[in-house]
Amino acid sequence: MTRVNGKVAMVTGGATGIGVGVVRMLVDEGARVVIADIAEEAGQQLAEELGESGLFLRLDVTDEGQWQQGIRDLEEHWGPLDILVQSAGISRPASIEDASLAEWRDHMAVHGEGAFLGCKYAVQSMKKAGGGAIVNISSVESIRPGPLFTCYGAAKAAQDAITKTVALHCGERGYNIRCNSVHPAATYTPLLEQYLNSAEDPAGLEKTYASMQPLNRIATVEEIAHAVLFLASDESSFMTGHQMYVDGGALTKPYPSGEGA
Amino acid sequence: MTENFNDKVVLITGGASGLGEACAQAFAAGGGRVAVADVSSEAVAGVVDRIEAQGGQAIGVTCDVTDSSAVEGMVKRVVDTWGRLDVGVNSAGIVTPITPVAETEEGDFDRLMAVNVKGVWLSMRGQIRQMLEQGGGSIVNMASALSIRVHPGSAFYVASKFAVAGLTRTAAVEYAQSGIRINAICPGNIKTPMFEKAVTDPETIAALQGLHPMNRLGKPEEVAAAVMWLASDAASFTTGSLLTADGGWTAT
Repeated sequence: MTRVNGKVAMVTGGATGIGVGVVRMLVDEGARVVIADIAEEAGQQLAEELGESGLFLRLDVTDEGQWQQGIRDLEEHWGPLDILVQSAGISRPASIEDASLAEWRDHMAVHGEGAFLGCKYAVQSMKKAGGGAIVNISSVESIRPGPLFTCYGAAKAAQDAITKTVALHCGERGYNIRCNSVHPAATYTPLLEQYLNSAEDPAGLEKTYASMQPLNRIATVEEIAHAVLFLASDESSFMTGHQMYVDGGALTKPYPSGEGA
Repeated sequence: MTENFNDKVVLITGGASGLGEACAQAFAAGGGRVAVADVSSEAVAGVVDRIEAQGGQAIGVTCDVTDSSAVEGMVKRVVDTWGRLDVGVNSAGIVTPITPVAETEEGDFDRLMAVNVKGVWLSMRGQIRQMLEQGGGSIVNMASALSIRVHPGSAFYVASKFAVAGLTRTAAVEYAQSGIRINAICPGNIKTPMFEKAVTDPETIAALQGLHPMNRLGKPEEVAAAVMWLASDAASFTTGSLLTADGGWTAT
């Protein structure tokens, strides 16, 4: 298994949810991976489990100084970055009537500023490596947001615009750096479990979430990680600025109005 | 190499030239049993020979995809040989000369639509019928960056590739719960032998290259890798999607 053999990768949000799946798959395929997260305990634990191939970095993606220091440390340890996967995210659903300005700013900071800073410092490092691949985890909510994704949908749309401008800039400059996004629909992550468990009728909500996809089920973390691996590897060498939907067909259907999902 | 296709049965229309041939070679190299379907029996035999020379498994099927009984025969031939059909790649397609709409000809329209739209519909229909019977499968249609963007002088081609996107997405929803995933790949300008023969003027090549932010033409293998990914189990939650392999063209 050598699809990203010898590559140096960083996965933000690497200690939870989709990030963990991506970290494991990249390591399985031969990469050395920095698990960048604010969740120290989970991140350290995963790094220990991965041995030589894993390294934990405490990183708040909204903090420019931490990005600068983190990339510097990484370069000293393993050399410049080949792959950046930005999976750090928050999602606290609320309608326009209920969402506060503070919530809005939190979402924009993590997804918008986070993606901005991540791309900025990754490009700087990847130029030294002679190229690289950035994969930003977006969402179907950036393309077709539901009524409760006021902050999340807007923040992911901001992230999408960064993905495209980075792809165009790097393409035009001939940096050999590609930048793409993966758009999952509902996926079995701790965040989803949390939604489900907080619902009055968890099984009913699970069914509602599943029914939003023509495949009529919720994705596994591995199914998202497979797409990330493909976009991070040289197999996708002519793909940049692409929005890859791994959504069970959700975006082929109109939003299921009235279901409150 | 992307995914493992050991013993999977793969049918590729337009499999004897350009992107179809690149897909045929890639699936065969990945362990698949490949049916190479195309209109020219001579070209089909050539590709089958090349695959076998590399140690791969292939059969040739001569088929005009605009002919419904020929398409039925094509699927039957594959099933008679290997008992099933796991993957359909519908790559048969043609272009007509660059012409503004006011000067286009009826014959060109009919010919192009017959291959690029009717051909994909018939091929997909035959493949879906077989996949329903066996309980699943995966189909990848050859769409184009021109399923998303337009190009002056290419109205017929653009219209046909928009149609392929529509066929793909509709069928994907219809069969989502029958174990059949249906997706399309959207290549940019790819350096196929046909492209190299048709476009020789350096200025035109530079202009076409410039459509892609990567400022180069794609390689057939790069499209084949994306097709294989969509066809593989790694893409098990992906259906009704248009995957680009276009050097960033449609991001602009």
